[in-house]
Amino acid sequence: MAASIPFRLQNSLSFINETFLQFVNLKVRHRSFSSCSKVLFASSDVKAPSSPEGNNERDPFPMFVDSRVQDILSRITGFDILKVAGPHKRHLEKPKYKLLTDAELKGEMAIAKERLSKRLQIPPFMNPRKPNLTPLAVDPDLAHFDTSSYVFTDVTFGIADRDRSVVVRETDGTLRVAPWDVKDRMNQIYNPREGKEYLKPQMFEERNLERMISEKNYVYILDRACCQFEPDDPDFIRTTHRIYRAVDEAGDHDDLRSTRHFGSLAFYLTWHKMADLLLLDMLNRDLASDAKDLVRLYTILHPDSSCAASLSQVSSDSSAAQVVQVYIDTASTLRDELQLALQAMEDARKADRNGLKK
Amino acid sequence: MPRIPLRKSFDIIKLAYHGCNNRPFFHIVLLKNISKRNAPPMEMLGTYDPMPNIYNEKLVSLDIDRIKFHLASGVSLSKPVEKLLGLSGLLPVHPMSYMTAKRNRQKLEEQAESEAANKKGEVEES
Amino acid sequence: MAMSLLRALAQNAKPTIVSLSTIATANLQKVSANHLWDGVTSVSNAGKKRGRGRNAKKRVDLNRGQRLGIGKSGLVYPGLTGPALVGKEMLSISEKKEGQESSEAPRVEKRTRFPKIPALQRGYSGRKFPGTSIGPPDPINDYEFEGFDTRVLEYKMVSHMTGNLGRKMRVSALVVTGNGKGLAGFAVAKAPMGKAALRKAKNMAAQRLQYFERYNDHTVFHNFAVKEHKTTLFVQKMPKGHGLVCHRVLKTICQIIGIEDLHVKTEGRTGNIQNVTKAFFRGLMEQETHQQLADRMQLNVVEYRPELEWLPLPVASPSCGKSRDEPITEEAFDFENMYYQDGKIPLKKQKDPMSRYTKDPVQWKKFLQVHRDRNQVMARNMRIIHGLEPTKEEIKLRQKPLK
Repeated sequence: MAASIPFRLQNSLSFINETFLQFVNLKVRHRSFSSCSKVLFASSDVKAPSSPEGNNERDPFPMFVDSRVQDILSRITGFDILKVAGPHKRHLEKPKYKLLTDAELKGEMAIAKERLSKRLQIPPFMNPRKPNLTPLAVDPDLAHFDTSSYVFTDVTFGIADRDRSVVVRETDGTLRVAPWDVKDRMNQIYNPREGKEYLKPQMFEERNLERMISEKNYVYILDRACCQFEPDDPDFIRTTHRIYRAVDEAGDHDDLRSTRHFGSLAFYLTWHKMADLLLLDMLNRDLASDAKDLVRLYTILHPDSSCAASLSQVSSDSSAAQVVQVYIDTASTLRDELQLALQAMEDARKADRNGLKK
Repeated sequence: MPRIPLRKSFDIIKLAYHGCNNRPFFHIVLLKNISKRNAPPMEMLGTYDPMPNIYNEKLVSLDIDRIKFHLASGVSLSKPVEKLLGLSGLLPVHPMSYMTAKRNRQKLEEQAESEAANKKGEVEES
Repeated sequence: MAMSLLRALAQNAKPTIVSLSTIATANLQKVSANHLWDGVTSVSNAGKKRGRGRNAKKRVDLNRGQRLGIGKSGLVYPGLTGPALVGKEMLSISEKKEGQESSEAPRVEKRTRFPKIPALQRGYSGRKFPGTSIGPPDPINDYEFEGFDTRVLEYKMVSHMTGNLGRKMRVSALVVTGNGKGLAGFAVAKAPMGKAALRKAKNMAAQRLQYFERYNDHTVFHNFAVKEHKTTLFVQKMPKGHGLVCHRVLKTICQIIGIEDLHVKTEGRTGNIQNVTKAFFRGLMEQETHQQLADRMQLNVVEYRPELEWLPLPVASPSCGKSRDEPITEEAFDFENMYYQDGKIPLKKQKDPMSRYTKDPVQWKKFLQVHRDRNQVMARNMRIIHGLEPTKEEIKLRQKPLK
């Protein structure tokens, strides 16, 4: 038996223990095998008790899927079609040519726009998932039946990765729902996804990530994270939030415009009341309607704030400058800079209007 | 002239060896009991990798829906498959699994005792 | 007679052996070496014009590496190699003085017959001219051809028969010159000497420059086929990054014009460089730009590129600002085959990619091996990255026989 134990056994076991301790509870509906070994062909839903921490911290996901929020996020993302299509690395292929009338060209462009707009789907903004440690069956008589644990994966045709049931029979005889990392690995083995790797890529390690941030490869990191992780994976949340903070500090908001990550960036910053620099960037780029949308988003996410209270008194069809002014007065931390930028934007607009009149 | 009576033929879920030298890998397949080990299966119902991976796990995949269907229609199971399904929680745990577990535990206890005795002896000698 | 004289000359090179026949000695005292050589190798004036005496033996300098009057040991013999008297005293034989020249003349460095040419300056083959660069054309009235380069495409001996001289040889050179930005010209010139022919051709080419429009400065506008006598070229437009896949002469021409991506299938007389060049230049000249196509058809020319997710991008629209109303039917228009003449389309044979393995059993065995190990390198690299590759000690430990 000893000969069959792999050479990295000790490391791997310590890794599993860490992951077990890291997660506390499971909050996702999970279709699993029968929890009782006596009952044949039965399946049950496992519900984990909600954690005490979960109650304290607000869950952003219901807010995120709200249609008003989604509208605002997709509006402020923008749609620069050439940036969305972007030159991607591809296998060399000949371009194709067509002779089209003006009407046909318009139609083709509309089709392409619709196709490319799907690329801007915003990845869900969620809290980290909680593990389920409640065993399905405890069987002390079965302890030491083997030196390694068994992982059973359901590969029924047509089952989605998120609904797949994966159970583990530990060496001490207990049967339990597989931890999230095991489940992710099993999904990758039995239903491989392009762009995802079996082992977590080294670029998501802390030191490598910092280096890539200093090289400003924001979109590359975020795209890769979207491929590699589930949206409620703690690694995904840690990585993306670190990037959003780095983008905000460096003032590189424009790099993420017309990509699927701009909505997440705006939502993250507004959720944590850090959207001042983003608002400043919008005012400097003369994006008045975007600035107004951002303030509206702030009021939706924080309905109890003083900004929301004072903005409810302002009429809904008021100008962007008025709405931003309310935000500056009530919720801003960069009051002077924002005021200056707003003033500059207003002046430029006035000058433009006068120039047109003359 | 005496004739050898025909063997009874029935459907069975069993393991088919599909690895290469020193690397076992099994398919869980539905076959006739009299067919060859690696005959083209009537249906493939899963896989079993008996070599533990770097996380010390042995991986089993099972097509649960189809296995349930075949069990309901009265198919028989080979012993290794019965053991695997027992461990997965789909069937009652196989008695042989309990026996192996008990023997392993006894072996471990004996080992621990002998080690303890050795240690005592060493202490006394010193 | 001549042979005996030569032999005498050869013997004369070794002054220690003195065993000449009486006739030879008599001759040698009267006649200089040059005169003797003339007697052996000279041809009459009329003969020279007809090209006689070309294969005569070359003159050999028998005193090469020797300085007359100075011996190896450098002794000074008064009266022979130095003054006999100084004032009234007679000098005796003295030793060599320091700083005196050695008896041997300094050896002329023998030129190596084939000096090494840097790899990038070599032509197509060996040390031949074709493919090499011969610099920009000579300036004309203060106009200097800046950024121009000239390459030799063909360099050969040509001959014709004359009544007097018989076969008269000349050198013919075909060169192409251009600035890499669409401007290029070619010319053929002949001259008795190679260098003169190249110079003549280069300067003629500089006066026959043509401007070729290129698509995005990297390729042609469309596929086309051209034929010059028995030489046919099938030129195909290629995406950026493809490179030049064509006849070596066409590759040189493309580099001179400034075309980076192209595929050309050359058929028929591909060794006739002049026809290949002529055909390619004519084909490039007869191209239709996208703007011309849009104006002719009164439609927008739209490009779909894979790296831009097949986004429709108009590359040319009619100059009147509006396209015609009725669309073109898909069957009538195929941009790939639009510019082949008489509705003929080049035959593209489908080749089985596995054929080179399946035909040869040795190759098939090799293919199976490669196929078996195809993921091993990648997997090992991944193991190294994640620190899962066993160390040397671990491998040794594993290799121990099980007891």
